[in-house]
Amino acid sequence: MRKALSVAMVIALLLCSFQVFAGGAGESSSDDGVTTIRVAWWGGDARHKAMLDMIAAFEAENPDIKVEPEYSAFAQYGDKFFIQLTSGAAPDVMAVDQPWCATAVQQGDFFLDLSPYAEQLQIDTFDDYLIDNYSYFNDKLLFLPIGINGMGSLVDTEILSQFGFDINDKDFTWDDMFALAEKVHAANPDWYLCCTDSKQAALYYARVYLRQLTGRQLINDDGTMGCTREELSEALELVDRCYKENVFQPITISAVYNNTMTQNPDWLNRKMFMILGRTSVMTETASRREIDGHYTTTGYVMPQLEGGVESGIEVRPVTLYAVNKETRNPDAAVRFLEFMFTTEAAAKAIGSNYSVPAREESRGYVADVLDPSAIENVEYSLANAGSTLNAWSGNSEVEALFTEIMEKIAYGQYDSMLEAADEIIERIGMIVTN
Amino acid sequence: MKSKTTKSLARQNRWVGFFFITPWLIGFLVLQLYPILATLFYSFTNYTFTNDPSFVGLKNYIRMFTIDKQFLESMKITGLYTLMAIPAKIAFALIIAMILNQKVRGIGVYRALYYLPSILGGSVAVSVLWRVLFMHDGMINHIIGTVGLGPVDWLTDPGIALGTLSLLQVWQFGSSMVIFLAALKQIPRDLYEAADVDGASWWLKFRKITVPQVSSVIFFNLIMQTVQALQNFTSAFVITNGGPMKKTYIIGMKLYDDAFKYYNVGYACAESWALFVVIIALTALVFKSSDAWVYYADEGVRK
Repeated sequence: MRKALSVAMVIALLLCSFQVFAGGAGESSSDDGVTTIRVAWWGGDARHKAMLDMIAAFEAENPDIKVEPEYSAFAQYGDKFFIQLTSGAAPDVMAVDQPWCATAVQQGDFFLDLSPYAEQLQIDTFDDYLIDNYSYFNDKLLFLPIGINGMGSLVDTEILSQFGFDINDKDFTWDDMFALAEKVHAANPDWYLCCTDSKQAALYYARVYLRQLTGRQLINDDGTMGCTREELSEALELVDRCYKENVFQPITISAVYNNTMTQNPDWLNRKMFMILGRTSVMTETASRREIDGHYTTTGYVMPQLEGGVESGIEVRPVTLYAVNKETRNPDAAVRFLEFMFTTEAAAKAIGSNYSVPAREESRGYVADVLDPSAIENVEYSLANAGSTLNAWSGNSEVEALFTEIMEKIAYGQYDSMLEAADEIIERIGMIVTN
Repeated sequence: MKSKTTKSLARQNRWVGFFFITPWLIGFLVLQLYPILATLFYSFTNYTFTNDPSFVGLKNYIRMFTIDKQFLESMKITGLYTLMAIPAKIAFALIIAMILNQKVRGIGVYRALYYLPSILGGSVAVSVLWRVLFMHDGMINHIIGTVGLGPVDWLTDPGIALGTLSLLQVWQFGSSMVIFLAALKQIPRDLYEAADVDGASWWLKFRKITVPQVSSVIFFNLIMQTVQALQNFTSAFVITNGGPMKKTYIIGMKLYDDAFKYYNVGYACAESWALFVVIIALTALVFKSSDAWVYYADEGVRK
């Protein structure tokens, strides 16, 4: 009896362990007429709650489909995304970050072509710019953008107006920024105009400035540099000046908040007054107004380079959704996407959790919960968008390198910015050849 | 005939034994042996999670020592971190164990309290707490500020940050301390009594009796703690994220970034094998040196 029991336990254990590895998107139907699909996304608590509410509304309307939600924070989601994709364990419907799209498509045929469902998904009602630039790969409709991110700044209008800042003046240049920063820091030595971290300095200062200056990609599609060392050094000079002229808080204080700069107490306690970034920083901060007491922050434009070639403004999707090519229930998956992207109930449940919706009609559904300045920023960004970023220029290793160089500039490690530019060019060469 | 029955019984028992360790066996085969062999295989490929790995020979290993300057730099940082943290941790654990070996009322409570950091130490929550304690406006700077010192940029000064991280490692001295405590209790009292009769000082007794008697435990702790420190990841990841200027970018973090941020999985596997070889070599070195300084009481002589 005892032996039989131990054998049974061992068999059960073996079955359990195999089950862990077997859970792909394939086995999602049951006999009772209800189809089960797995839907995965990343986000914070507010987005999780909104998505779960949306899923509940979908299930109420579609009793023949059951949704198994899988959600986590961005870092964990990113860690397992490609592993799940290649091991065949990816969910039926999944959120995809824009920089991953090109890599994933390059490596394999993982996503369902949604072209046959274009009418059902009302593709023609999505913003053309996003669909044209980010949804199609090799003439296949693979990714649906849920929200739009433009670029701009978040500003504390109440305090900055004391220094002559005018929210209605949209001709804001880098020189204006330096002049404003000087006044701010002179008024109180603990005050700095801009809240940032090394990564933000790389993406929203140096890289934006470089694109305004050259109108070209940092790295060309063939892996060669898209700018000269002098141009690159001029862009790095901007960040160097920001640290030297007290536009930014000293790195020894702000470095602790790398990747979490909006949690810097000096930002929360209103000792810094401007953040450059994507539109989502505006919607996110707007949703936290009650907590932070920042009733006076609002979206504003991105600083411009006088005589610049382009605006440097990148418009990109907040998150895209795709269907697993291996799904056994493509119709159920598409019905889920149809509900999520096109219905008023879903748009209201999701609210501002994916920044400004990519469909104009959906924007109307959530106008009351969206920050008006975020909508304004998206419209401004779409009207003034620069060229889209190519894969090499947005490569995560290249971005990490830029971030590292920003930190070294902040710590005063270079005699000249040409030296920093040379290091970037040399190391980009290594990244590209590997 | 009888011996045949015994043999078949023994064979039968062996299978029952295997059945009983099946949970561990599955865990070992699937979660340890398979990944170890898989990383060895992938270390010779250009695997990126999404491609079909193709064989690239020693390219990854060559890249580590020629092109990727950060690899040796991270190994150096990891070594420095281990050198700062481990001797201090072992010394600290031994001192606290000696204090807690005294006959004082309520000593059990103290022992439990001193062990607490070890239970908490490796967790993300404590790393976050450590970050808050040591940041510019943190409690440590407030405390040293009351005596007119600081503020010190514990986490953001490139020359100090690694030291701050190693302090966290030292702070988790509890498990080493418990083992030291057990060893201290094994030392025969008559050795100390004889030394007292001869008029030996506290320092002399410590050097000539305590240290040799617990040397086997020092040896054990040294190996375990060194291996653990060389593989550290959490504290650097949570507290400094490898910064400032990569001065705390220990090899565990680099491996993680290469694999999960940049998807250079084949290369990350090669790096982890390089780390594995370093750990094995260091362990072998400590083992070899132990002949000279570890004393085993049951053998009666220095081995």
